[in-house]
Amino acid sequence: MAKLNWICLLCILTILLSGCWSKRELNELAIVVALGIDKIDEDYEITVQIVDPGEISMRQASTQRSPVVSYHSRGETIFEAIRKMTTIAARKPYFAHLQVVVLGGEDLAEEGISDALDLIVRDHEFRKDFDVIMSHEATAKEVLNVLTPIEKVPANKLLNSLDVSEKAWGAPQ
Amino acid sequence: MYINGIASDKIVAEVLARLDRINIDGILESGYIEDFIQDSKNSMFPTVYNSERPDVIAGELLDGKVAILVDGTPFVLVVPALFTSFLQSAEDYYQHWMISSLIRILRFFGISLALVAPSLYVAITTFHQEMLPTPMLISIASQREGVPFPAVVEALIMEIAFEVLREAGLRMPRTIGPAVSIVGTLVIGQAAVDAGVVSAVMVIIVALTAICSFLFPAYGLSNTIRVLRFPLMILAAMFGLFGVMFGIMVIILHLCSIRSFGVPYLSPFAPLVLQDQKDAFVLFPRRKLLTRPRLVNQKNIVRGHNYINVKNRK
Repeated sequence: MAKLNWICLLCILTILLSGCWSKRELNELAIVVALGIDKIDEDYEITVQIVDPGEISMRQASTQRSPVVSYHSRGETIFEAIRKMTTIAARKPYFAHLQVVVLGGEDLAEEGISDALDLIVRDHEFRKDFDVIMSHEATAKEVLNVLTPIEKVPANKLLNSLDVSEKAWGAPQ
Repeated sequence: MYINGIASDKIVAEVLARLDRINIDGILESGYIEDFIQDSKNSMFPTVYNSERPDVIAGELLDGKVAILVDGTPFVLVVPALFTSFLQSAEDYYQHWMISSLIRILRFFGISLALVAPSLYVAITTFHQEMLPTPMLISIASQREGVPFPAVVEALIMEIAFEVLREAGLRMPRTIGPAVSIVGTLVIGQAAVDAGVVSAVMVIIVALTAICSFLFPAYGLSNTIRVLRFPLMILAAMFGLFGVMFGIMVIILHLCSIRSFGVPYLSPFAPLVLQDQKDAFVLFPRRKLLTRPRLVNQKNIVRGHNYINVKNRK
């Protein structure tokens, strides 16, 4: 009987101890809307654009803070750079709502983008419904550092203007 | 009380046998009898229907059910009670069948919402943020900035506060009832959100749940759902949507396993009785409702003789 009780206890513990495993409250998330990848020498420099939800909502958007924050970090691989970013950003970046990926300049294009996109394709957190953009005569960092007037989130502006110009101007997406 | 020739002899005999078995010094209310004659004593789902409306009881008798009248109580018990009978109101039968059907579908939707709305919210916002559209996620996230508690604690606090208010509203003298509800709405709704203790979305969810739980025509099932909400919320907090699904599956399996006086509780859905679907999810026009519930009643299935003739002519 005592043995059975122990087994029951162990079963309950295995259930309870694994509970709340991957739990992340909404205010622990840094929602990434745009990811920029540049290649500098042998390193990747990544730029993530994170929304500040308090600034976007309609309720108290009167403060003079920017609606998005950009963080940069460098690493030998993109994964390393993303993980290293937690040393400067307070929250771990959350990529499921990524809208746009900007690949920086001709350097990366000449070298081939498969290495750069490898992590994005294979990581479980990325949803593959974002647009991929190649920047021209500018680094991805510069592209993502522009603040846009009407659309508060620059990533949205990029997406929308691509979308609208494709329909109205006929520019291929 | 039953209609001889319509009610199944087996059920009548079973009811009488169970009533005989009751051995107690006093019965103050029909709830006592309900507890004694129930099939599954530990189940939270009511397997005895009760009503204080004569037309409802008459309708049930015509379906071949057995009514138990208790001296000194306005509530009459009806057995066997099925899951669907707790979701059907008398008014369904008195108005146009299309309207009744729509209202019934709405009611099914409403009770599922009353059961799972808070747990779904907890599960999605703490485990599955990728399921929300981006603008919605940002908007919910902005409301959650600065809320000190995790989403589960927030949900539990609000639900408990609401249950307290509801209970207090019942026990209050009628004259101060409105005062309590004003204090409740102001304190819980407005002030809590302004103070940043809970997020506005949570208040919406709790209010939605509360309103949905008032959709039940019969009170018995509403209490069950009220109670089951809490374990589901805790499951949602521990395992996300997986936990919610797990909880719902356990509930459905349990519903499938219980019977009320020999009749499967989930009939006519499980086991599926096609003929009885006319009066389950939707309601067919009265002229099509030719038969009594098949599983409750095996002896005298067709309603009325002129209906037989209509049927033969076709």
